[in-house]
Amino acid sequence: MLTIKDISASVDGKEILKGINLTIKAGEVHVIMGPNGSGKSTLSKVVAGHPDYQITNGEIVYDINFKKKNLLDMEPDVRAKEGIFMGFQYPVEIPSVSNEEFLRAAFNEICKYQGVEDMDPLDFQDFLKEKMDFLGMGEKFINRELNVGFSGGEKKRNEILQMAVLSPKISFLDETDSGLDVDALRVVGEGINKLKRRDNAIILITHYHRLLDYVKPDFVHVMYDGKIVKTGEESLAYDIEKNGYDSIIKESQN
Amino acid sequence: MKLIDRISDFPKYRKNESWKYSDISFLKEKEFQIVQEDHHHFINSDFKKKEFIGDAVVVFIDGVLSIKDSKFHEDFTILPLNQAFLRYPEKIESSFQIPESDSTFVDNLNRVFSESGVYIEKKSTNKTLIQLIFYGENKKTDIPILSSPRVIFFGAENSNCSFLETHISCREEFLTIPVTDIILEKNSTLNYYRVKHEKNGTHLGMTKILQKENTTFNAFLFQGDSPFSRHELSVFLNEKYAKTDISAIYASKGSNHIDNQVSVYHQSPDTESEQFFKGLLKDSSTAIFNGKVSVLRDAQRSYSKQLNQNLMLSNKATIFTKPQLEIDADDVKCSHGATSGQLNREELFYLQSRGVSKEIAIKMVSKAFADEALNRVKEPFIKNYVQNILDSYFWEI
Repeated sequence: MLTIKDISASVDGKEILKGINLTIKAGEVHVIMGPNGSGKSTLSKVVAGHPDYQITNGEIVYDINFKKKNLLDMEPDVRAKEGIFMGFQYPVEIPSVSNEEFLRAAFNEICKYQGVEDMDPLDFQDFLKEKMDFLGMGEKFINRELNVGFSGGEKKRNEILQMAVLSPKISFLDETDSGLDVDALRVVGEGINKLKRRDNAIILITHYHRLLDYVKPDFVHVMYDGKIVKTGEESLAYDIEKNGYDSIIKESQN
Repeated sequence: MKLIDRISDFPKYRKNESWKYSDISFLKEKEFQIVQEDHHHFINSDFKKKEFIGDAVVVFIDGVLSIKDSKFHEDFTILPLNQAFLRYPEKIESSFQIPESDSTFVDNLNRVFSESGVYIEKKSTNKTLIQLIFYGENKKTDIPILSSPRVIFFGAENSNCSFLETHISCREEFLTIPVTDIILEKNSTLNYYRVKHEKNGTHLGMTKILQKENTTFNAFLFQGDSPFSRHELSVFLNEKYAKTDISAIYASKGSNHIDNQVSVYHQSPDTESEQFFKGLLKDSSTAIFNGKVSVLRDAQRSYSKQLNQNLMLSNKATIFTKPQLEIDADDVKCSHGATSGQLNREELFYLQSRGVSKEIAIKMVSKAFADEALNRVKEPFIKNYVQNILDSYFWEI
């Protein structure tokens, strides 16, 4: 579904990603772990198309409906319309834009791109309510300004709500589990698990295995210094939490 | 007739600080004519349907009061200024109590050319809206028209009123110098809205307010762009417990020029003022915010807050912003600030990452920027009226 081939990327002339290879197939859940500064967030931003990053090498091939497309040629909004989603580590606050207005604008843009008719505003409200109930979100949430004054947990839940509304094919969730208390973690974890389907793929970027109690991964990758240095199964996440990254990093340097 | 022939201090106006970035010397040698009488043309019904939103509507066409086109309401005393001079001489006389502001150029210009004006008084506490429409007719003239209407408004003791001033013109070239004098008697409240959306011409407008004890003046100002547009607002908080709250939006594009001059004079103790000005600038346009708060020595326990924010939608646009405080009292609470910035990249990326195109993301973020001021407008139909004008501005981003 998504093939990241030897991607290198830099910001302000500083190389952050140094040749990443990753193949993601439909129905899979991948976990990316790694010490701070290893390039995990950069990888998700590069896939989503953040303008601050220059791609210096490699390609990202997106394989959808039997067509291969080069993701790097697309504007960020086109990537989103094609089914790429990024859950932000720090969701951006936008004053005076209401959450509902934003969600409806995004949803309608995607409908338009995919040749589907706009949803009637009232139907959209019902559609939204269903998604919100399932994430345990109160109604007043929707009338508030986008992420403004939201608590850390509310912001992350709002990211998952956007994912539920836009139903992307490939979702990079950047530390969606950080800053959550146990109850919020459960809601977010169960939410992600329910959004997992056979035709989509989820990539979780995290420091902890606790999210993996709710979402079972197929692969766990470890990133260090802009590269994937180790790939394993779920047990790798538990090893890391117990023993840290030192031995893996040493192993990779030999 | 040329302006330079009638105005002796024309060459000297730029010595005043407030004219530093606004050069109107191009007007000096231009020929203008003044319309002398009430028009024989009635405003058509489509226009009425679209633009008449007040309970009472006073219409000026090319600077001349048109009684035939106006709409009256029992809550308001409305009289042509020359009649009011005869009937209420003491009232008219008292309108001269409004002190002079720092720059008297526009005020003087208006007096020199003023042929027509209106006197309005509101006595009741009914929440009725009076609208003044300054309209430039859709007719070609060989020589551009100069209009110089004057409005004197009295808010009687304990009265409550909403006042909407709209400036629209179909003319391609003109000079208009509208001046509104407002006097608020004890315990009265006025919600003042000024919407300037002429597309062409030169606009030199002024509003002066004298506030007496325990009066409230809430203003919302909108300056849409035209080649040269300037509005001066002077508020005199003359007696204790007078309060003023001004919000404004200005939106410029092309190579147009918008100038906002605000002066608030705290002249008595326990007075309050707030200014919140938001500017949007496109293309190679220029805008000015020159806001002054002056607190006299006796005006103890004054409170004043002033903020000017500008959103630069182009690399070529220019903003001159100058928030100023002059404080002679020692027990006051005052703050002021100004910002100018471009669209936030992270905000745009966030919206784009959800499938919103860059073009729409820019519109959403700029609209949100303006809404912070527009949301202060309480009357929904006035808010919609301005919203519609702004929408067409955003549409062209």
